[in-house]
Amino acid sequence: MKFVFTGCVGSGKTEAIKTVSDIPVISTEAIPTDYLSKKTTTVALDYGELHLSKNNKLELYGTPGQRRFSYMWEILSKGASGFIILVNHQRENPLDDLDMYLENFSKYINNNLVVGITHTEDVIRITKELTMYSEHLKKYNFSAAVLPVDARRACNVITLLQALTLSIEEKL
Amino acid sequence: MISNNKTFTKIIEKQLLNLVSNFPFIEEAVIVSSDGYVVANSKTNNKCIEKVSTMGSSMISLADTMTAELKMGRCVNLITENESGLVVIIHINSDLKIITVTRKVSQLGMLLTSTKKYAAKIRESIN
Repeated sequence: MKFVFTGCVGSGKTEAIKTVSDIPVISTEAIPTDYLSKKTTTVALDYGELHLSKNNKLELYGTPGQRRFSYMWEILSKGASGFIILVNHQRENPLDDLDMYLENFSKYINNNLVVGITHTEDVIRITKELTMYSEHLKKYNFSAAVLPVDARRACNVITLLQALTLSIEEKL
Repeated sequence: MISNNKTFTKIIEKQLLNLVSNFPFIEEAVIVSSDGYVVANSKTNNKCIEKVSTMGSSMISLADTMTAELKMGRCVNLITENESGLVVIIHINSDLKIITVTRKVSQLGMLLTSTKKYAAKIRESIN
């Protein structure tokens, strides 16, 4: 199965794939000229694999975050079974960020979506705020799991992937 | 990191204009940052050049990734031969790439040679 991680710059897409991939992640990174707080930014794709069994693996693709790379969003979305949108909760308007990716990926998502909320220092406190994101998804008629995620922690990322896999299996 | 000062951009623009005037079969020459921003352009009225330049930065980054997988070192240049034209992308340094475009499909050798020559000139002029 092909899963696509997308979301704004600095939301943790590359990190999430690196955290769970069973192979060295293929990355296309460049020094950013606009997001000076970041050392590198993805300019084409990230690719990793999570091996579930001998003959079964998840192919994990990461998109660039910036809108100017939207042609890569289309290329990478083709044939995808599911989407993970990561939202950096510390950004000024995280719901606007979510809107951008929902609008651009809606024709590919087919309701196979989970949303990971990153950069949340207090997981208990954020639980209340997750409702805000869930309610927002309803505007797009998406019923997706919304989970807090630390992209550096494998158990968090795997929980996201499990939620997505389960939601896909339920529809089969 | 790329300097944003006007002198820097003017030096590069001058070199680009020299390139397209010395090699008139070159339709367009662009300098793009590694993360897909147009730094200088031989023309200012081409609406699609920003998108094409960003695509160029993705393509050469992918090529670098591919050649690294193959243990072939860094991609030196990337050529796309198309039904009605040619595109060449070359690293100037780690921050900047040059992209040249021609509709003359018979001019591959000249396009590659001239683009390499000006990539070296620009590299020298900004160092």
